Amino acid sequence: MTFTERALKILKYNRLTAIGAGIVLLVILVGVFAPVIAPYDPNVIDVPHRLGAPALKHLFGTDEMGRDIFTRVLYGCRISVSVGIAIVCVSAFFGILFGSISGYAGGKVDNVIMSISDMVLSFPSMVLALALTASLGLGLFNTMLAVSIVKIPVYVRLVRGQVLSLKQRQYVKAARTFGAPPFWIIWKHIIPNSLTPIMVQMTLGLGDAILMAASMSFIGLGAQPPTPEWGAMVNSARAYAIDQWWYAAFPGLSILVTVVGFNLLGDGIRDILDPKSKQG
Amino acid sequence: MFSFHYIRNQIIHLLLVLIGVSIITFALSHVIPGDPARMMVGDKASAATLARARVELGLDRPLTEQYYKYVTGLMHGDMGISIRSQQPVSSELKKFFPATLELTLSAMILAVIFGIILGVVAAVHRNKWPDHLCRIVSLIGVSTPLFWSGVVALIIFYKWIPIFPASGRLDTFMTPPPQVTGMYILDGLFAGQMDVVLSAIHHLILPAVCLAYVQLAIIARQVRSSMIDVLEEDYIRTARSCGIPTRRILYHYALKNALLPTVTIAGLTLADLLSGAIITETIFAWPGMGKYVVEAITFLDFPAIMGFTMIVSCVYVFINFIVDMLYRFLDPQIREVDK
Repeated sequence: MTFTERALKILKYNRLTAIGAGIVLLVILVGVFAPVIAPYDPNVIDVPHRLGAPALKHLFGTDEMGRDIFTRVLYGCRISVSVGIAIVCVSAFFGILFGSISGYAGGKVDNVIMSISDMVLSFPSMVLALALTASLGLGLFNTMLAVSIVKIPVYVRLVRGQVLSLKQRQYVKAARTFGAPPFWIIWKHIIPNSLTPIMVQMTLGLGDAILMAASMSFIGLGAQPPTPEWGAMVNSARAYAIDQWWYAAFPGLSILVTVVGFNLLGDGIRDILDPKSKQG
Repeated sequence: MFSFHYIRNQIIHLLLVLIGVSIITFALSHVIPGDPARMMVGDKASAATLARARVELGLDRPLTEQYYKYVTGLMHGDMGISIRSQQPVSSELKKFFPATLELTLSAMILAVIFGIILGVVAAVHRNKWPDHLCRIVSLIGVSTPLFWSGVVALIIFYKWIPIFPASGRLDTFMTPPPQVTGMYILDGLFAGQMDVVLSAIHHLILPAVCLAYVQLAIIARQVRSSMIDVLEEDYIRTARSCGIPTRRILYHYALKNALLPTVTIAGLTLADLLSGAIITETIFAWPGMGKYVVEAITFLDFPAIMGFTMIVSCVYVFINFIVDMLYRFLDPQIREVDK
């Protein structure tokens, strides 16, 4: 069965994966078309209408500056999802690079890379990301960088394991016999054959990356006001949430729905790309 | 029980990991930030003040010497002076640690008990409604931002149905019990002050449940999956064919083996809960290390942030060490492999 056939079959019979795919598609569309869909400017202040409850004019109500929360949630979708995708891509890129070098070279290079990787893994990821961002300086870019660095070892370990197994295969040995340089062998033979578990890990890691970046913004390290990032919005809403429930409810609900979508899709992609790991 | 070689190797490994942790925290506090001295004295300080601060912090010395000074300081409990309060970071963390420990331990107990129950029920009723419920609870648990669930819990259980307090560890005007452990429930029990114990539990429920929920989801998933594996083993089938009652098979034979991987997860849970406490304590104004570090972030109090990182990471490393030992203690097969 080809990849497309398997994907279509799983989407048809596994309703949860289909729901996940639908949510992700919707989130991406909302992110792309936010300026078209949004009824207001996300940063325009309208003090007379501050902290207004949800109504037809402002579907999700307004915040303490009178800004439309629905508009800010739509724009926040762009930021949160792109941050998640950027984190996963950066950490996967460096994970693949260091993991393949470590597994292929072996010996001292392997020891050094794996020791650094283990050192990073010996921290709780949230705490290390917090300390890294504090060192690098507050802001969304530094948060993305910090969370990416924290996530790299997961990919290093995964890719190294794949490389160790693949480099014993006949076709890799044959390429080596013909004098192919190591980087060519890694690029042409090893990475393409390790892509399945990497893709699965990337999709499953997306929801986690979005959550972590939002948490960093919530404690004041990531996106800074007035950026309409979901975590930062819930942080601003804290002082008002008890009396104006809508202020914190909608940005948080958006994170929940988005992460549920990515997690469901991740499980589905795992089933498509790696049927052996399908859980009962 | 454990061979000498095994214990020796484990202790060497533990020391290496701790050295690794100290190298990273040293790099984060001394190398990556542009100038820790500038952070200490502020942007408006004169060149002379800055130079004095650099000498005071030892930044004019070679990196290796700075690292040596840093590690010897850590060994003596010296984590620097908080920029915000001008107090030693170690004594401040010591003051806040019991509150965090009380919150995380309570959350862990909740997560382990309810996670195991949910996982077992889901595995036994596989593909029926309890299993679907377990999946939904797990999925929402791993997808919900902890900071949001805390805010929602406050809106529901403080504002709409006012049954829990919004912040703090005890009722206003109530005096904390005499300090033994620093955990109010235990200290209240030791002092026989039941009103303090009840008030502490009342304040603890909401933050502990919010903090426990994510980990409960992870534990339930793990228990479900390992219970399903165990229930398909030959010895369970044999037990069934011998007519042993289902309840006895489940709890006497299956659960014991299914819980082994859960030990690892539960250990890691405590470490994750310590990280999660950063957020929960901020929302519920719980006076622990998490709230302390978030306030430190607001004031860019670097020694306090690094002190917190060091403490939590050391706890994390020690928990991993204990879990590893416990796992070998519980599983005779692994002990055989070690031999």
